[in-house]
Amino acid sequence: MKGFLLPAVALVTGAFILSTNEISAGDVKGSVKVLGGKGIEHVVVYIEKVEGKTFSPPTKNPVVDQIRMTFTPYVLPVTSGTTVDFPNSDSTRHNVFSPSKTKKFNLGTYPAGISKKVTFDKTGIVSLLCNVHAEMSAFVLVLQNPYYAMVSKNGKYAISGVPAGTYTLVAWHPKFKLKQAEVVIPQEGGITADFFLDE
Amino acid sequence: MKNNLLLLGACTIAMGSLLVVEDALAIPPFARKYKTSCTTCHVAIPKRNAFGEAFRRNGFVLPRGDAQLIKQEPVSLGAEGWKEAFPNAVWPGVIPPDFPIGAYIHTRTVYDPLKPNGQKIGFDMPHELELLFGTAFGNDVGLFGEWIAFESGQNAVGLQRFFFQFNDVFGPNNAINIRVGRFEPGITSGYMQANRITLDRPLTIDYRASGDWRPRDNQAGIELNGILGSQFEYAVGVVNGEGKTIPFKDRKDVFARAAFKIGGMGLDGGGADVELKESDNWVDNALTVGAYLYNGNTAKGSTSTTQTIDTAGSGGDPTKFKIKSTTTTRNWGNDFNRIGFDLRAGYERFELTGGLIMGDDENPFSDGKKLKHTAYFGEVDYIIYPWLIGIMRVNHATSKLVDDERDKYWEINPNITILYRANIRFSIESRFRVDEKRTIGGVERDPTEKRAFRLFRVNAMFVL
Repeated sequence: MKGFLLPAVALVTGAFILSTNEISAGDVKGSVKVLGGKGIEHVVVYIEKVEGKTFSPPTKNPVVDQIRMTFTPYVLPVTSGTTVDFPNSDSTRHNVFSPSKTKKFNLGTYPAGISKKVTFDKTGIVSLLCNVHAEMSAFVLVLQNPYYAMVSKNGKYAISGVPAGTYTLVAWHPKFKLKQAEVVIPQEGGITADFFLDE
Repeated sequence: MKNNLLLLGACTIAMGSLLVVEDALAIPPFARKYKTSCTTCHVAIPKRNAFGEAFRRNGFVLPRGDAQLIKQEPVSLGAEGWKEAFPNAVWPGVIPPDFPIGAYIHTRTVYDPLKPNGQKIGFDMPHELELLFGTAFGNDVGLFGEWIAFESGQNAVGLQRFFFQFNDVFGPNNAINIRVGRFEPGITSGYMQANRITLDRPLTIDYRASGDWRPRDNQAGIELNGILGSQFEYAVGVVNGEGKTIPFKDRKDVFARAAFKIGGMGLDGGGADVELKESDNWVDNALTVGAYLYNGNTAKGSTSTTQTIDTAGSGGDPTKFKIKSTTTTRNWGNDFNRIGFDLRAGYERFELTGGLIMGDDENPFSDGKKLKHTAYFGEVDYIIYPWLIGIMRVNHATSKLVDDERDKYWEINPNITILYRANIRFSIESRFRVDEKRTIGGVERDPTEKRAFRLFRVNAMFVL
């Protein structure tokens, strides 16, 4: 596999091209449980950092919609540098803002049919709020690399195309303390890593 | 008597074995909130197991994963993300979806052998209706309240407890909590009034040595409490003091308690299973010892009326004499101290609890005579089945006023408790009391009441 410019699949944000070569593909799979079982589909499993590499954002902007007084999706992982669209598909006016240090912004209040956008260029967690509807909440998780996956409702996840090497694998959920594990991705084949978020 | 007791126990066990135990669903606010049975937190209502105690200490927040285990979703008063907007926004919170209220109903039959013939048996039905309030506003603030709507024929007995606990005010988790309101002072944390299965109470929390103050009485005040390292518990507080003629006096009562637990579940729930358990929850192989101090002052008052014959203006005619009444009010203070110890040791189905309280009152009866007293108890609980519990408690009290002995007695409470459902409990309990000879004025005297069998009660408790 070495010497190839490998296409990789971003499991959530769409296709992107890895801007380096000399990598070996690897799969990271596993299952995740959360205490109480609620909100398992909001867990993101990701490789914390791939040293010495830079990654391009996707060409197509991911979307956080506002519909039925809810941000959709509730959790959106993106690669640093990604621009996210914030359309208002609701029947009422909404405001999108974030007080987070990672990306502080305020898009103002805008009506249905309008879409605004924000580029997330720093890694970290960004809380999304609406100052018209205090209960609305969502998170953008800005990551260094595209090796991440949302966990499915049955608690499974799969990350593909991870270069061989030693990494910190992280499981993150907005309401739990994150869990992490040191993993070694071999030149051939993949690994399995399971998590239980209980705090 | 011994044979009668054995027969009673056998009948109770036989009756209990016919009962079918099911999961309880209709249970008070916390049970509804987490959709779990009473037995998650209680050995038998209202006695809490180690997990229930951790829940109480944590300010009515589950030791682990509280938010995730809530089944009755609260109404959000701002998403979590608003915390990041502070101080430019109000800190987010939650409000329960329903008013968090539950009820305890006691109904009982009483046999009182000390009453005159023909008046010994009474149906005390209902004996008590008590409303309970309990919730947590997120993880930060807990609320607990207790209001007795009816007791022993009296309506609207009133508010017993109503307090807020601000959790984890600063420092590590559970290290510093602040309790504000009307509550049972933390000196009884080793054996609280509301943490017993029996109808009678252990003397160390119930003994009114000088006729007024007792440890378990709810009082208005502020308490600082917390847990360090899962094993060490402390509470310090200042309260108004009970039994005072004037409750809002500047002189307050102060108290402190410290306890240490070895083995078992941590005082903060450390080591608890991450899922809510509904069986075998009574097992907590551990030893907990505590010690406490209480310093108080009881402001007392008495009113006496003296009648004299007023002959003024009568001209010596007795038919014109008037009766003159003079009312005299006397107020005095009684400074008192208590020091106490408590112990709880659990091993599989056994639990041993014990306590000792010693004290002195400087001037309890306004005659300048100092009162010294000691009370202690030992109790063994044995879980025969999860729905059948046997309890035996022995109390002893002595108090001495200079040379005269006031109290000197033993009290014994055998009890059989049956959980008909997790939220329906039957108790069969007797009270035996042996009054010992006392020295009064230097002369040893026999007790006025020599009968040991004092009371028998069958109580049904319903929780909804």
